[in-house]
Amino acid sequence: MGSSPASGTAATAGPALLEVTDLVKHYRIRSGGSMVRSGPPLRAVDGVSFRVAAGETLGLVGESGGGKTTVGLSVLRLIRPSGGSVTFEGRDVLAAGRTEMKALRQRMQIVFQDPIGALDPRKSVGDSVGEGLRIQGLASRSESRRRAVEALDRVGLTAAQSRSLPHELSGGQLQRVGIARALVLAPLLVVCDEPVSALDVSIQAQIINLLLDLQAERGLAYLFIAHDLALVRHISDRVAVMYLGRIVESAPAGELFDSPAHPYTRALLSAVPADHPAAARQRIVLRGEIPSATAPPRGCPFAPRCPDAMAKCSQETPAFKEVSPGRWAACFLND
Amino acid sequence: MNEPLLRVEGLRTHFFVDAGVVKAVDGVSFEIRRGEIVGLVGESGCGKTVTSLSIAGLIEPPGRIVDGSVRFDGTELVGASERVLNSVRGPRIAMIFQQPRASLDPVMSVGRQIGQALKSGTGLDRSARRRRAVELLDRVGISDPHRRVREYPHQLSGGMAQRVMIAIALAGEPDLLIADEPTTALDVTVQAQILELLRELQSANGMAVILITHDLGVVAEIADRAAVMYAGRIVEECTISELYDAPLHPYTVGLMESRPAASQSKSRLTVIPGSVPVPLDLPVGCSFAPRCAPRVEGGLTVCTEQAPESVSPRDGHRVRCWLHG
Repeated sequence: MGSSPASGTAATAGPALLEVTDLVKHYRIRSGGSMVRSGPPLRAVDGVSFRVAAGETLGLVGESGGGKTTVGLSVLRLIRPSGGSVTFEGRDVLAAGRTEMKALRQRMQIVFQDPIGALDPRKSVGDSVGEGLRIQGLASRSESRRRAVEALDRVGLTAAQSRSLPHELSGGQLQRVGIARALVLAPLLVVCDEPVSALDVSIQAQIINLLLDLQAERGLAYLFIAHDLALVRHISDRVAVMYLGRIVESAPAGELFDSPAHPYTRALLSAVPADHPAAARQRIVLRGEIPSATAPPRGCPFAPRCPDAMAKCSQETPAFKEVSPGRWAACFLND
Repeated sequence: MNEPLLRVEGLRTHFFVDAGVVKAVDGVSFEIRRGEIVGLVGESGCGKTVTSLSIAGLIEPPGRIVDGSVRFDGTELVGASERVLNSVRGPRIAMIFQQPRASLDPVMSVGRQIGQALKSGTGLDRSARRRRAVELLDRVGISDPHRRVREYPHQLSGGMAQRVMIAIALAGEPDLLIADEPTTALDVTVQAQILELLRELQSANGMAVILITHDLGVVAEIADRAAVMYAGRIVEECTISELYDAPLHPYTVGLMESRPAASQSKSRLTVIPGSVPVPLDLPVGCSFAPRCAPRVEGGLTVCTEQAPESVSPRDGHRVRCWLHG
């Protein structure tokens, strides 16, 4: 079955900091105006399993509508999954009570694509950064202010800038604030949801370097969600590819990019613009677009668009299994 | 035929706001030949979109073209009457944008929107326009065009909406298509399809394309030449292979080196320090000087005193930089 509890990480990756097993998130769609009735559920995430080791970066890629963001939000329990389990440092995140959840939130943080949406427009960015410490009851007002300035300094913002309101800062500076806000709580895992896709190219590189430096300094683990594949290859140790709510392939970054095992990964990589104009490439043009998650196809969800589909693919769902050491894929072609 | 299709010379478009004068475009010159694809590359605020809106005569107060010339196929467009502009804009110069759905009328069917574009340029009657609309949808790769022609924008995916925009742009069989970040909002597989379509239309119809983008990969994919903009000026103009193999301007070099593909995995990326200058407060001399490492290493003082002119150290390769002047 596609939803086997098998993890997508190499056995050598050490004990998991985060372990996600069979994660499911279905949304009920209501339609019909005053005559409210439920249609089929939207299967945003449909049986996803993976592990992230301490200090490791797992890149999560795939097209929009694939379920990447829903996975990120579920891991932090910012939304309630419909099924499956999320374990962080051995503790069950989905079953955690109020007090335990508060403690967990300190260890798991998130950085969003749009930092301004995550900040209070009437509060100085320093206050917003320090707020987490006060909510967690970890520091007094003056202590949290001091630590906020320290965190902002680490991400490259001055004490004067910590007194700024969000609208007074540039997009790159705001994303630094977003990172400081996560950092101040000394997390072990940071979910980064498209952290640089709203930024200019020259600023993107600055933020990526900051994330790499922080990881080296503090042993942070990242769940790095992005659609920019060149960037994901650069920053990730391992990469998982999502399609229509499922992980179809996961492998060490270099292997996945150099020799993809799933036809969707191959098509996705072939669509990425070349590194160089002279680079010859064989493009796999996919038919149609990603199907609706309210009516996923029978069998392998990618079968209707797959250039290599066989008769069996629209009947049975391929299991997500280890096809070579450290590499997992859900495709009959690897049998 | 040796006359370029479009020649922009010394274009200056300024915005007169309460806080002062924003020199969004401040001396832009370039040419595009028939059937050529030119990538206009740069980061937000560099003036690439204002350049394209100036070419199309779409600058509105507080903005104004204060100087320069835009000659399209022998006709001067700067200062031209609305009548002249309307005869060019749409039928001969068409535009597509990043957010196709925002450019489509939400309450008008796809067919009627294409029909309107056909109405202004052709003498076709209503049923002929409907037939042509179906043909155009088919041409841009929309399956089941007979059904789609009756649909409304909200029924289309992002990729399909962009195809519809391209169909509308093609209605007048334009000589020049200005495509402003046409694939930025799309998934990578859909982006590849749209770029493929643009390239195909360019080779089949001999249409020239100005492709405005921040994405160097997209430029490498389909453009013949690139013009790199920084703070309202084109700082470098060259072929795509020169852009990748022998860029000259320190800003271009910085952009190329900051690509993740240019460094070892998990290693720090090469960065351009600082950020783009505020357009109200541009530095004296070269706008890039405050961020320019080669200037500091070379101990050049002229850069912060005087703006460099555009020079051509190699045939067909132009650069605005004192290191090469």
